[in-house]
Amino acid sequence: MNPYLILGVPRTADDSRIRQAYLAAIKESPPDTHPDRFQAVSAAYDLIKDESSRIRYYLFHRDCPGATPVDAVLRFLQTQPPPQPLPFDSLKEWLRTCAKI
Amino acid sequence: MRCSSDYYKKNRLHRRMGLVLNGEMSLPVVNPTLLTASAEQRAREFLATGKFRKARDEFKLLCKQDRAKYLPLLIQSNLGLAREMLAHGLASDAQQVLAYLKTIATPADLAGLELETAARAGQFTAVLPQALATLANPPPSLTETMKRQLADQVILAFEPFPADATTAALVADAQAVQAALQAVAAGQFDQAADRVRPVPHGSAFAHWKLFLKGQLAFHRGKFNLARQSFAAVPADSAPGKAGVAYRLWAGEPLSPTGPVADHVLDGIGRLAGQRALGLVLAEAERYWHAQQPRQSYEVLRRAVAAFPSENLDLVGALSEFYFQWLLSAPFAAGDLLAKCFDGIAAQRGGKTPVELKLVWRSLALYFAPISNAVELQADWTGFIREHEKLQGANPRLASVAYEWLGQQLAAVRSAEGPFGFGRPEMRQRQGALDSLRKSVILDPTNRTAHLALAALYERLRLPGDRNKLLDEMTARFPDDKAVLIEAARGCLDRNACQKGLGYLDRVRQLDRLDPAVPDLMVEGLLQQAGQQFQQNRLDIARATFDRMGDLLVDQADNLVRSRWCILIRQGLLEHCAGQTQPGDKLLAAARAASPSPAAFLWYAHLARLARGRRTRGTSPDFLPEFQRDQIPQATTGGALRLVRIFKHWIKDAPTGQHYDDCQMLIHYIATAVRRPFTREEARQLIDQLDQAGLRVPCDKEADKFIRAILKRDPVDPLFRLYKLGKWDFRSAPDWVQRDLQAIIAEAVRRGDHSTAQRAERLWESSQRGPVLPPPPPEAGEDDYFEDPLEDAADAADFPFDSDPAAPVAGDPVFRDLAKQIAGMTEAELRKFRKKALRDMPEPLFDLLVASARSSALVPVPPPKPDPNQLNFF
Repeated sequence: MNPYLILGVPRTADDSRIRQAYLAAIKESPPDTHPDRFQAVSAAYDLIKDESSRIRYYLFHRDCPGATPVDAVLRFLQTQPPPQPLPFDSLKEWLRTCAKI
Repeated sequence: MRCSSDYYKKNRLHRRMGLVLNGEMSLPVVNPTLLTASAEQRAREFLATGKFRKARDEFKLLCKQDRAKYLPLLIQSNLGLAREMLAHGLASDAQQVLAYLKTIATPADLAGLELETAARAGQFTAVLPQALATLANPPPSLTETMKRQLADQVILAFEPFPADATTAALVADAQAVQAALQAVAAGQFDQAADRVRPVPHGSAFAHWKLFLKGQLAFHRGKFNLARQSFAAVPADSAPGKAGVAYRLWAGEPLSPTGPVADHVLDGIGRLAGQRALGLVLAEAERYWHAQQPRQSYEVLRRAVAAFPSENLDLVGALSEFYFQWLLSAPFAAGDLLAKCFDGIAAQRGGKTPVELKLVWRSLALYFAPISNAVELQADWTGFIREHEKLQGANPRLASVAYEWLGQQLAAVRSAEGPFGFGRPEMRQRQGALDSLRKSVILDPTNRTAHLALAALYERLRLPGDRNKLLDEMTARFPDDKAVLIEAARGCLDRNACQKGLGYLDRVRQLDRLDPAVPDLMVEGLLQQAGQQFQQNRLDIARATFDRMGDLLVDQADNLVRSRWCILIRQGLLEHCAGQTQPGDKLLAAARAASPSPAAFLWYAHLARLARGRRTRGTSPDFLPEFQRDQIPQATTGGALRLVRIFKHWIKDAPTGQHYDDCQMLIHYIATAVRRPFTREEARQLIDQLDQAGLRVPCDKEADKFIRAILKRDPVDPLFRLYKLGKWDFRSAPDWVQRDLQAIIAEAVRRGDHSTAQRAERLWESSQRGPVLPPPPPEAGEDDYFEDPLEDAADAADFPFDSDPAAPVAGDPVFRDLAKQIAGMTEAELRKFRKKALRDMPEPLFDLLVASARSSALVPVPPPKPDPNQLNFF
């Protein structure tokens, strides 16, 4: 998974900003209550904690963010905050599409 | 010219009809009752098997004969047909069937279907009163699914409800659901919850209540609750179908069976604020599941303006998927997409500079294992060029990129030559040197590039360059452990032990527990003590040995720092350059502390040989005692220890020095095999011979152990694997591959996982196809490949890296010849070459030399630098 998305920092973030984001993330997800999240955050931080690591991650990382295009999209969306509700017309239109199937 | 079979058939039919009309030909007479019975049977079969159209056609004809009997079946066929059409999304066709049905069926027969057809056609308003009436008084034939569909139509009409006392309760529930949906859309979650709360569980709209509960949880970020609520909504209802999009977003795993439905991706796209992307994604997903990754990529490329992108957004995530998938995909599958990228790179035809940059990077990494040096360099420099165009020059990034390129070019490629004479080669020596040097220049703070360059200098035996670089490194990275250790190694290699020990002291200050330091310190102190003995500074030399005190261990198998080994080395030094009496005492103490007399004698003999050329005096010869007393009492456990000791000493030995010792060791092992041994001892010994690269010279003896174990247990998987170990599995005969499969099965059955894994690795290598000759040298590389000195140097550079799957020529004639060649100096080899070439083709002789040297672990002098080497930079 993309470490920038896990830590919620832009690609241009510097060392201190990344460290701040890391500390905030592990404060939110301590290892005793959220071991998986803590592990993911720590691994993400190790990948981009300094400029050399960031360059090496950028150039050589081989992790694929999903098994299919939709899987990649969903994994990305799951790192984002919940979306705003659909506008009423759009919701109505979509629900009607679902009813027609 | 028209000459179709249709034309022929038509003329034939016309002719036949003309004959009938003219009375020249009569049709066969058939009993009408029999015809009707068979037609009815056929029609009923069609109806039973869901072939509604055919059933309808048959019943239509039968109705003409007996309307009362066949009309219900005709209606049933038409109803089935209409529903089938609806299921396939053919709403207008279904409406035509419905129109026909209205002429033959009663309204009660059509109640559900009429509403369903209208809803599928999007005519929610038109059916609202009827739907409400049906829900208020459901006929017994109305199923739960149909009820939910009617309820969906009522909700999705979003129209004022007709005032009717019989439907008042339903209308109230429907209005509550609609109001709640509107409140959710407006972000008024509390109001939405209040609105939907009064809807009872038994209501026809209860599934909408669950849907709303899921929506509220989802938008509040409670994904677990949202998933549970959406999962409880019946899947055949409109909210159930819509809920799938929310569930997937909330983390429910995707079904691996097929692509996600279009309406789900439509919903995800809408929720993500990119409706158009959702629709395109559906098409890309379909291609993906049809194993057409290239088409899948191209759909997005054409339809989405921002694709591909490096941004941290939805399009960026999709782009990352395609470019990263290539790097983790199986080779055959990845090739489909790689061809597309290769085309873009070849034409410089990226849609955007970002695409071109991503393409170069993916190609460089994807093709790295098989590209030749020029291609690899072109891909990587293409990436750097595009990156600089977009984001300006970044020397640090370029430095890391060139470091990678250098390491790729310096990697050992196992050559797969004819006759199975494999010899590992460096991919492109000059390119590797230039890349790493450029990396160091671009970013003097790139520590790993410095270390890689130092390691390359060591492999290429360029001590001057290495020492200069190590001095620079210690100045640039004074507190870096890895650099200091490397510098210490460099100093010890050139006998600058004082300086090397200084570096090691600094490492100890930084990290007292670094496991690499004690061994190096002992080696440095030994070297220093040796120099002091040579300078006749005996007391100082003895004090140097005393300094090793806290570094020594009591583990007999540690051949660097165990007490008995150090006592031997000190005793030998005393004998050679000091005083005999203390030397004897030390050797006696060493013998007492050693794990066995054979180990003591063997270690002392090899240590004496290693110091031989640098000694002034003499030391006792341990070999006669070893031969006289120890060989007759040889044991497998003892042989194992002797092989370890031999491996320890042989690594730095000059060419051919240990040929006689190798023969002695073989003699010892040959004696040991005649005495009792356990399977475990035999396993350890064979593994150790493999690790020490002694399997070839000790082939006959190892075979004896293998045969003995297989005599005890004929299906022992590990020893059967050892027996097959000589084969190159990529071109082995079928029976070898069958044996390999049987070995895997037996190992799995016995729970011997390590053997199973070893056999599986060999099996995988056997599935990579037959051995292919190495690629032809590229333009500019001819000089490099044709330089025999460099070839010989390369062969000796990687003595321990030879391909384990490569076959071994078991022919005794070959073995003897190989041993002979391995022990020759360059001058002797030149003489031998002239003689041998009278009887042997030159290429075969070269292969023989290379093979003999690579299997004999004998280093040869460093190569001469090649002035003709093409400089790619």
